Amino acid sequence: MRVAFGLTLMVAGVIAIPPGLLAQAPGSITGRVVDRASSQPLSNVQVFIPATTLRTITNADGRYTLTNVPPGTVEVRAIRLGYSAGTQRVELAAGGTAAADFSLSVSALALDELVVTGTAGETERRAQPAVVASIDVSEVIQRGTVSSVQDVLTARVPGVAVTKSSGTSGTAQQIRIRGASSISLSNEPLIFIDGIRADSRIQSGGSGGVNVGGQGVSRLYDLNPDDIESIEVVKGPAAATLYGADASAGVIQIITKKGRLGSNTFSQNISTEYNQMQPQFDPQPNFGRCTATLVGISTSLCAGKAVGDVIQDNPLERTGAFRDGSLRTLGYSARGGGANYGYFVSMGLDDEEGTLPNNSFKRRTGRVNFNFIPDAKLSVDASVGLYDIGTTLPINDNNIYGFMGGGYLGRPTTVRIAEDGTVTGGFYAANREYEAISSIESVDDALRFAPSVTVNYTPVEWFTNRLVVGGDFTRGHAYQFFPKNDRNFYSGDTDTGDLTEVRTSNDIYTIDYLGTIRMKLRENVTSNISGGVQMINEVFDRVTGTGVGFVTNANRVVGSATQISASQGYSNQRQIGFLGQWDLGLNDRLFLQFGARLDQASAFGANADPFFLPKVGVSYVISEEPFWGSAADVLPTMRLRAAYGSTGRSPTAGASLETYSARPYAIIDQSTSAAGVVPLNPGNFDLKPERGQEFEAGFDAGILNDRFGMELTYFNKTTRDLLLRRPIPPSSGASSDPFVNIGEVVNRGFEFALHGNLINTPDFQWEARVSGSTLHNELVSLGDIEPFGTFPRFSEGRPLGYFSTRTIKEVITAEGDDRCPLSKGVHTPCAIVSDDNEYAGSSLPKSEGNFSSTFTLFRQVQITGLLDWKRGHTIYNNTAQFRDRSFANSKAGVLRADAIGQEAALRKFGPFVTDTGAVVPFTNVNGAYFESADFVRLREVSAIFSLPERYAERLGATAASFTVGVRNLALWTDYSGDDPEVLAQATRNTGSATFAREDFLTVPQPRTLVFKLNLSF
Amino acid sequence: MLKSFRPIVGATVAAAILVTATGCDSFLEVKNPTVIDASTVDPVADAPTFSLSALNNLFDAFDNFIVYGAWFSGEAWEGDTFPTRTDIGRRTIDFVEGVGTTNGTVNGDIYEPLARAIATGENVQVLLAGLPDATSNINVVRATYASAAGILFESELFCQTVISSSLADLGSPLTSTEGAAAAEERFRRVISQGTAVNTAESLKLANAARVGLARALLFQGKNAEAITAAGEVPADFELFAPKVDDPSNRDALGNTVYSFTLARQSLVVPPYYRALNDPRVTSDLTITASGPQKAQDNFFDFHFQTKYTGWGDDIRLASGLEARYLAAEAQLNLGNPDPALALIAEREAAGEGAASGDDVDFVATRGTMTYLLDQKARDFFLEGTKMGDWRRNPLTAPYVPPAGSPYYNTSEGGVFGTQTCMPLPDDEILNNPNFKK
Repeated sequence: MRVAFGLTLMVAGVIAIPPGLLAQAPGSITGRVVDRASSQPLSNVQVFIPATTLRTITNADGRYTLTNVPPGTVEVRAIRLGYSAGTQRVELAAGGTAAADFSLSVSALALDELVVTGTAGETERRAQPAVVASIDVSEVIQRGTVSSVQDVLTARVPGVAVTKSSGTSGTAQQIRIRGASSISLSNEPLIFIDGIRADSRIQSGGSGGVNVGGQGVSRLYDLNPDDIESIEVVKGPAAATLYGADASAGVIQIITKKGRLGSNTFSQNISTEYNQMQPQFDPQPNFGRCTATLVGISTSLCAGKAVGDVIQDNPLERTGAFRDGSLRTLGYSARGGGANYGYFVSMGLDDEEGTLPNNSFKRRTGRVNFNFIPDAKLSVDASVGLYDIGTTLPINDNNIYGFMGGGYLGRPTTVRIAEDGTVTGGFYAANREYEAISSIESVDDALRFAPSVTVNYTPVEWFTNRLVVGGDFTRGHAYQFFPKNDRNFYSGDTDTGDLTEVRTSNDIYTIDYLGTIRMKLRENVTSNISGGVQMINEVFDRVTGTGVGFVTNANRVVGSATQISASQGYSNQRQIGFLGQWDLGLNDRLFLQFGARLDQASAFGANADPFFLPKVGVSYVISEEPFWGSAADVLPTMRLRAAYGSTGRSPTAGASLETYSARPYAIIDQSTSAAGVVPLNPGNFDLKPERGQEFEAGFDAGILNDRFGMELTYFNKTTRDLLLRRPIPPSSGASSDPFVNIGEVVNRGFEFALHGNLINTPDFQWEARVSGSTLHNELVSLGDIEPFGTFPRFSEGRPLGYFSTRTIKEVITAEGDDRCPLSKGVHTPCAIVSDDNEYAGSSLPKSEGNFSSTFTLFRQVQITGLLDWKRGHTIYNNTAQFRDRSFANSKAGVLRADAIGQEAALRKFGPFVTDTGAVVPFTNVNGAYFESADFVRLREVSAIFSLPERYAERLGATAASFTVGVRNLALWTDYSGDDPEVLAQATRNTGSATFAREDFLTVPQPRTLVFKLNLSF
Repeated sequence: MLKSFRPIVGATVAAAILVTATGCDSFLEVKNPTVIDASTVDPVADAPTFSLSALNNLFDAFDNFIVYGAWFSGEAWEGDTFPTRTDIGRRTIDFVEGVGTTNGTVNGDIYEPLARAIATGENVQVLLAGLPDATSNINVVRATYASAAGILFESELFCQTVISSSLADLGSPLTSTEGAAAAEERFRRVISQGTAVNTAESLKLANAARVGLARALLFQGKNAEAITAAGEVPADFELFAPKVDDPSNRDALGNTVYSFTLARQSLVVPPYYRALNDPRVTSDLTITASGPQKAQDNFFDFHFQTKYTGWGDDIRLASGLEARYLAAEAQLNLGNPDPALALIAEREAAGEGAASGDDVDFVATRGTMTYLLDQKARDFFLEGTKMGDWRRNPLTAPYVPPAGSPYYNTSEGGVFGTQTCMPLPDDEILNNPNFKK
C-alpha cells in the first residue's frame, strides 16, 4: 500500500511541470546511414535525439525516420557498435521535415556506444568508469554457429568463463565472471532481460527438476538468441553496485530486439537450420580375465580360451548407444514501425535430438516487443516473452542407471552369446542394458511468461524518468519414470514402476524506478544526478510426489501407486534497494562518478539494518585533450578509467535462525509414526551478507586511426565476511553447521582485448580479435575455521576448491627396498608418498583467451573462426579412476604394468607407503587422476554465403544467405579423458561442491555441423 | 523559471522515495514454512514429542550401526562402490591429518546418527530435570534410554566416545571403557525411573536397560555385576526397534539393513556364514540370464540376507536371550563354563545342529568362548551384537578376518588392517574444543 502510494506521488510530482515545450507542431527527420569506407548502407544503427524519448533503428537499407520531433535546432546522433558515433545538427521547421545523413567510420573502440547496464540510465561508454562489455548478438549469430545464449557468451568476453557441463542436449552451464568469490553461496551472475530480473535457475532433482546423476536444466537455455539484440556484461562490484546485494558475481543484461519507430517499414526474416551433432568420442571397452568357470561356459567370451586370458567387450559401441544427434530450427521474425510506433515479433521452433536415445530438447518461443512514442516526452515499451520448453535427459554421471555408467562399468565376463548370435550382458547390471536404460524417462518441461513495461517520461529536457515493471513467471513440470517390468531392469521396488512428479512455480517481480536530473553547471561542466529504487520479489514453490508400484505403465499417476510419498519446498526472497548516483563531466572528456546503494534483504528479516554499498569512478578520454598532440598519430583514442565499488551476497531467508527439522518418530510395538523434531541448525543472530569490494583500472586505446582497439583492465576484488559454515561437532546433536561471517577471498588479474580491421578494402575485409584474462584466486583467510575438504579443499593461501592428495615422492621399481611392504617375504616395488595431503592443482583456470578472425570476400562470402583456450587448471578424471581401481575393468585395471608400464602402474595402484613404511590406502593417492584440464579448442568455424540480390529475388526475398559451419571442430589437450570441459556435478551451484571439477561418466561435448538458410523479406 | 523547478522536482522525487522507504518493513517480511523456528517451540511443554523423537533417533542410528559394524567386523562383506566403504570393510580407515575421504561416510552414516541420539536424549533430560516428577517421568525414561543405548553402541564401535547435550554443552573424549561406564550409569537410572513410572512402555524400557546394563558392565570387565543385571531380564523379553514402511520417510523410519539389501545391494552375506547352513542365518542369490546377480560393486555374487525383507521389519534391540548370552560370557570369564555349555547345546538345537562353518579350525581350537560366540553370531546375525562381542573378545570372536590377511575384494586389493575400532571422525575431533585441551 505504502509502496503504491509512494510511486503515485512520484509520478504525480514529476507530472506537475508547467507546459511550454510543445507549443508548435512537431516535424520529422529522415536520413540514411552508410559505412564511410564502402558507402554500403548500415542497418541496426541507433538514431536518436539526446534528452528525449525519440529514437529509432535503421532498416536494411540504412534508412530511418524520426517523428514527433519538436521544431528548432535539433541534434541527432547515430551509434552502432564497431563504428564511431555520428552527430548532426539540423534545423527543423514546425510541421516540416529535415534530412540528416550519416557516414560512419569503422572504429575498433566504441566509446560513444550507449550502455544501459551498470549505469543509472543510459550512459555513453566514454563516461562509464567500470568495464561494461557488450556483445552484438545479431552479429555473433550471423557469423557463428550458435544456437543458445550459452554459445553466445562462450569465449567472447575476457573474464567471463562459460563451461557447458556436458554434451547432453538441454543441460546447464557454469558461468563465472572474474573467478569465484563465495564458497557457500552461488557464484553465478544475475541475469536481467530488458531491466527485469530473469529466472536463471539451474535445477535438478531436489531443486525442482529430476535427478539424472549430475546434470541439470538451466533457464538461461530457454532464451532464443534470435530475439536478442545485445548482451551487456557487468563484471564486478565496481559496476554492480546499482544491482544490489546479490550482484557480487556480476550481472548479465540481455537486451531484446526492438521495432523501428518512424520507419514506416515492415520487414520479415525467416531462418531454418539443420545441425548434425556427432558424439566425437570413442567409448572405451571393458576388460576382464577368464576364470575356470567361464571357460566352461560355452556362451561366454571365454569359451575356447585359457584361464587367465584377457577378454574385452564394448557394450556402448556394440549396442550403438551413441548416435548422431540433430537440431532443426525454424525462426520467424517481423520488424517494423509506423510514425510513432515500432514492433518486433518473433517465433522460434527448435527441435534437438541428442546423441543418446533418451535425450532431446524442444524449445518454442515467442516474443512481441512494442514501442510507442506518443510525443517527445513519453515513450512506452511493452514486451512479452513466451517460452515452452521440453527437455528429456538421460541419466549419466554419478548414477548407474545411465548409458555411461552402464557401459563404462560393465564386465565382459557377464557377456553371453546365444546360438542365434544374440549378445546379452556386458553392462553394469544384469538386465539393465540398452532397452532398460533407454526406457527411463526423465523429463523437465517448463512454461514461461515474461512480460515487462518500460515507461520513459521526459517532462523537460533536463529531467528523465524511467519506470520498469515486469516479471518472469515459470511453471515447471518434471517427472522421472522407471517403467514397470518383469525383467528385473532396475531391481527392487523400482521394477514395479517408480514415478516421481515435480511441480514448481517460480515467480520474480521487478519494479525499478530511476530519475535523472541533468544540469550544466557551466558551459563545459555537466552534472547528472540520479536517484531511484529497485524492488525484487522472488517466490519459489515446489511439490513433489512419488509413487511406487503400478498396475500398468499407462496408469501412471502418483495417486494410482501402491506406495505414495510427497514433499514440498518453498522460498521467498525479497530485496529493496535505494540508489543514487552523481556524474560530473568536464569538457565531455573527464568524467567523475559517485554512487551508492542502500539495500535491505529479507534474508535477515525486516528488522535487520540496511547495508551501504558505495562506488566511485573516473573516466578520462585523455586523447581529446589538446596536449595529447602528436601522440594522436599513434594513439588517436585513449581513455583511462578507474573504478571502485562494493556489493554483496545474502544467504537464503532464515539462515540466521536456530531451527529444528521435522522428522517423524516410530512408536514402539506399533507400525505407525507421528510428527517429531530433530535439531537442525543452532543459528547465528549476528549473520550478515558477504561483502565484495573491487577496484579496477585500465585503458581503452585506438591505434592506427582507430582501426585497432585495445583494452586492458586490472581488477582486484576482495570478498570479506565470507559466509562459511563453521563446522560444529556432531555430538552437539545439530545436523547443519551454522553460517558465520568469516574469511576473505581475493580475485585479481588482468583482462585484455585487441581487435581491429586488419584489412578493409571494398572486396576484402579481415577483422580479427584476440582477448584473454588472467586470474589469481586465493582464499586469504578462513578465520579460525580449520582447512576443510580434500578435493575440493579450502585452506588459506590457496585457490578456492583446489585439489589435494598424497603426492608421490619416489617410485621404487626394484624389489628389496625395506620401505616397501612385504609380500611372501619379499619387499615388493612400491610408491613412496607424502605424509600429508599436498596441493595438487587448481579447479579454476589461471588464464583464458580466445582468438577470432573473420574474412569477408566480395561482400558475398564471410569466413569466421573462433579459437579459445584455458590454462592452469586441473580436472579429476574419476571415470578412469573408477574403472582402473574400484572396478578394475579398464585395460590398465586388468593388465596393470603389462598395459601401462611398471612405473605408471605403481603410480596408479601402489602399494603406497610413507617414508616410514606406513601403508596408505589408494583412495588417498589420486595424483595420477588429477590431470591437466588445459585445452585449446577450435570452437567455431563458419562460412556464410550471401546470395546476390537477383538470386534472392528468385526466392521472393530481398536478401538470402546460407551458412555452413562446425562447432567444436577440434580439441587439443593433454587430458586423457574425452573432454576436459565437462562438469559431472554441474547442478551444485552453491556450497563447496560447486568447485568440484570432475569428469565422472559424463558425456563429452559433440561436434556439431551447422547448415543454415536465412531469408529476409 | 524552469531552473527554479529543478530543486522542487528533486525534492518531490526524494519525498516519494522516502515514502516508499517507509513501506520497506512489510515488504521484507516473508514466510519461511520449510523450517521450524526454535523460538516457536517449547520443548518442556511438548516433552513427549521431544522424548519420542530422541528415542527414534536411537532406532534410526541402530540399523546404521548394524550395517557398518557388520562390515567392520566381518559379519558382512561390503560389495559397495564407495571407496570409503571399502576402507571400513578392510579396517583401514584413515583420516590423514584430519582430511580423509572416509571421514564423510564415518561421520554422516555412522557417528552423526549415534551422536544425535545421545545429544537429544541428554538434552531432554537437562530440560526436564527441574520438573517435580523428573524421577518418574516417562519422557525422562525414554530420553535416558536413548542416550544410554547410544553411548553404549558408540563405545563398542568407536575408539572414543563423546557425550554432549547441545552446542553449549560439549563433552570431552572418553575411552570406550569410560563410555561404557557412562552408559551403565544411565541404564541404572532408566531401570529405577522406568520401574517408578510403571507403565507397559516404561517397564519394557527398564528391561531393555537391564540388558544394556549387563552389556556395559561386561565391557568394563564387571562380570559379577553383569551376571546380576542379566539375571533380572525375563527370558522371553524382547524389545524391537520399530520400523515403519513409509515411502516419504525411509531415512528416518525404514529398515536400513533392508535398504542396503534392496536398494544399495552392497550388504553381502560372507561365505563362512552361508556355509553354516543354519536357519538362523539365511541368505539368497538371484540367478539371471547372465549368471548370478552381482552386488553394487559388480564384483561379488550378491548373496543377500533374508532376515529383513521389508522396510517396516522391526529389529530386535534387546532380549532375554541376549541377556542369557551376556551372563554366560561373564560366567565364562569368571571360570565357570557350565552356563555357556548349556546355552551352546540349547542353541545348537535351535539351529538344527548345523556344524560350524568354514572357520572350523578356528572355532575348534579357540575353546568354549568361541563356541559360545559362534552360536551368538548366528542367533543375533545382523542385530548389532557382533562388534561388542569382538571388542570384548578380540582373540576368540569368530568370523573376523585376521589382520594382514588379503582383503576379500581382490580387485580392490590390500590386506585387512589392524584396527579393532573406528576412529572418531574429524568433524568431532577438529571442532570440539575439548579435544584440543
